[in-house]
Amino acid sequence: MVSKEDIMYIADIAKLNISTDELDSAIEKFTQLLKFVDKIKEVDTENVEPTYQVNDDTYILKDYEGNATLTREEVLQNTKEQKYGYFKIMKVVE
Amino acid sequence: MDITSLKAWEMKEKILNKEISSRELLEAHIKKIEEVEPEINAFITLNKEEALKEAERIDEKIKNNEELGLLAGLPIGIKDNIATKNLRTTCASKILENFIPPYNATVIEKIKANDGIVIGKTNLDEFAMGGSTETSYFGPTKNPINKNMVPGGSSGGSAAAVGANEVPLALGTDTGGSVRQPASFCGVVGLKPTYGMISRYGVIPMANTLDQVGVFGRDVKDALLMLNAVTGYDMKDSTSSKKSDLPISIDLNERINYLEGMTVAIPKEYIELGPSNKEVQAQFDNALKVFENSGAKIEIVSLPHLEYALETYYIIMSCEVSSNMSRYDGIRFGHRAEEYNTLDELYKNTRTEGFGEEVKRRIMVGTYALSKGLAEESYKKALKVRTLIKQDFDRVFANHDIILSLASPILPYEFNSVINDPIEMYKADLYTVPVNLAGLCSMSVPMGTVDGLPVGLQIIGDRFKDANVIKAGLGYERAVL
Repeated sequence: MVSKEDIMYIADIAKLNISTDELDSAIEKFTQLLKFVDKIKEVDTENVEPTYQVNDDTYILKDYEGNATLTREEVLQNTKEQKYGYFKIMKVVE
Repeated sequence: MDITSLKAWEMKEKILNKEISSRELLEAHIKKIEEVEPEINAFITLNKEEALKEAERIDEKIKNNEELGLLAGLPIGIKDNIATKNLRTTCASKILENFIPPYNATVIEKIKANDGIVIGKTNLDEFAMGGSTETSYFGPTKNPINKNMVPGGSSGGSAAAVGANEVPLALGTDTGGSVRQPASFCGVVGLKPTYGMISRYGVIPMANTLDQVGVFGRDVKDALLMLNAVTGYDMKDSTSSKKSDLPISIDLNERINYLEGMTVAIPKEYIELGPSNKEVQAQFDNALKVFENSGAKIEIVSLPHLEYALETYYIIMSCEVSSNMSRYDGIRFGHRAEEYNTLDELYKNTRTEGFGEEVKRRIMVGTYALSKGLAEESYKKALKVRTLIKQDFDRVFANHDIILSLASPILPYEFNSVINDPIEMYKADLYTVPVNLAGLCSMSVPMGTVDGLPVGLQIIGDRFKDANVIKAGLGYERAVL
């Protein structure tokens, strides 16, 4: 059973505000997810490896080499606030 | 003659024969866009000025008898979740409404290197999450076949732009059917190649292990042209495969019957499921007869874990979505809320204002599925079931060249309708999502109409056997035309 507290907690860690009228729809979606989890429980996966990746020749580490990278101006061109060539955020430590 | 109604390869021939210039071709398309766009709304952003400069550059090459790349001055539509340098890229979301990428996706570099012209950015469901292009922050796209109907999604803008002759070719992305289903709805060809065939560098991710760039064209030959221009291993994408480096080379001699001796599998699970519309089923049965009469061998097979495909997909997709969407923090790029007192409020207000309902729902569900206590029985378990689904397909492809099914069991529907009918939507996805779970290649090819609305035939192939899918598509097209 999904509770309102569960929803509020998930919204908090997902960094979303949730209004009271969105709560019911969220409970419905979470309950559906639990049904899906129940459904796949039926499948015997004893000794089955998880598939993180469908191909076997990928995720190969490459040697380090210096590549062209973005300039500081390019990196900062989409931010709202910058200072001294850095992203500016609010003070987070006292 | 309206030049914009030609196939891409026909346009290319005319450019190479110097019957038309790239600029003339581009201007004809811009005129078409201006004519139909107020109604269709396939594009979010147009790139007219840059495109005209590019066309002039290509015409200069032609004048100097320089060799042209594969795309030879053809105008191309790009789904707006693919990064284009200095050209706004929104993902059809408020949160990226003003985002100007400082770099090009690898596919864009490849299009440019092949002398293709990016004419604009096409509409989609917000962050590619949807199947009707109705969740776009920039308003829905209309189906050019019938403007009361949705074009499908999430690559609805690309499919509609090709269908409405606004572009001959377009790129989309396909996480669970987002190229094949809109292709089916708009009566065009849509091909999702094998996972790892096309670089995802610069393709804004929705669910990394399922996402793949796909191509749209008016016929299979067009799709092959577009595919060969963008495939290939890319060092910048660790999931791209070296197996993608060889161009798909197919002898296009008109006399070849590609279907002769082809082994075709029909999953019994799809026969049992069947579309509720019997006329849609009749179209599929007719297509099967075409394969049979052309010498293909058809066999019924079983994919026993197909019945768990949707649940597995839904869990894995939501988990990957929730992780991917965490980058939208309002700090480095994208929308930022006006009002906040703490950093936490900045994040929360920004994300709450910036994301639409469907995106927020999927973030919430994915975060929940990955939360402590649930991750093992949801995400981890789904990854194991994914292995079994993949093995089901591997068994079939050990003895068969292709699998045939419907691309969508439902016809294009009216706006604000099926989105409220989760069961029909759910069934519809069952035809497309297993392909992404197993990383296979698949194409939707038009196979006629029901009530004036197009129906697509889905041709599925094994990983890196994209050539089989294309041959089957070419063979089918030749047999019915």
